Amino acid sequence: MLAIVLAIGAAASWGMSAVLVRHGLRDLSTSMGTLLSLTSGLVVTAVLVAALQLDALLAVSWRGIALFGLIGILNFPMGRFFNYMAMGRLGVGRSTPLLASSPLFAVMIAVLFIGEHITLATGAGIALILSGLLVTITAPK
Amino acid sequence: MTQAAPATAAAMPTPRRTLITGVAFALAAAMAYGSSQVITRQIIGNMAPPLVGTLISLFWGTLGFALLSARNLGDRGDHFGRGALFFAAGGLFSAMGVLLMFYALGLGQVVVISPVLATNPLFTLLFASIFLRGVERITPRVVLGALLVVAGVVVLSAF
Repeated sequence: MLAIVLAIGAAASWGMSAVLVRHGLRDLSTSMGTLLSLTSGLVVTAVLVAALQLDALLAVSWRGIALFGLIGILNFPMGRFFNYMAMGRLGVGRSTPLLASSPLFAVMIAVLFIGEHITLATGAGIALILSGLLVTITAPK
Repeated sequence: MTQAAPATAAAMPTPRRTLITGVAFALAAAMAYGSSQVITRQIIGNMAPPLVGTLISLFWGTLGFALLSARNLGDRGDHFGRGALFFAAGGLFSAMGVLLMFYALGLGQVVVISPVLATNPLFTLLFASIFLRGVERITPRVVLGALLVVAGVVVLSAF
């Protein structure tokens, strides 16, 4: 039960983050805003790691550092910046469902490059996401 | 890169070009996030605890973004302090979400936790309808679109 409460807390935190960023986009450029949000997240995470998992940080291999770096480049300069660009153009309401479709791309990449198979459940999930995207994109402002 | 959106932009109709570029940016972001999910699942494995991995990724991502956007950071606008506060708070909530997610995944099963995490767009719309009143209109059709996408993501993550 506690795990589910924490997961709901995580989902609500991300929801609040998007709303705060939408407010911030009225005053700052997307570039400056992205950098500020990344920096504040970095500081908080660094404090937590220093307090809770410093040994684990020091034990990470150079290969691990490079691979996490690749993920960082995909997630932050690309993912978060494009996310905020979309939010500035479409608003939170319309950009949110589009951004939430990332598992669809994960499945497509896994099928195309890793050889995973599409099951009935996967197909149903993809169909639901695509219809959600269609409904959102064609929604009148 | 872009300048701050004018305060009245959200109240005006979305021109077609803005719509197309907005959708393109959103899908590009979703693709970047999706790619990183695959890399995390397939390559990273158990190289480091998730929180440590997040710190290293954030470090490189922040450094990379600072270098790429250094030339576009000069224009501070009239309300820099207010905007900075909103973005910093947004970053804090985002980091808190990641932390809570890790603890939730540590205590519960992925098959139970992932679908709950996937409901975050519904919280976004709920908070937007409360805190962005007068800035944005959350229409029933947008809510329907979010519900369909969340349902699809829940199905993908649960099976």
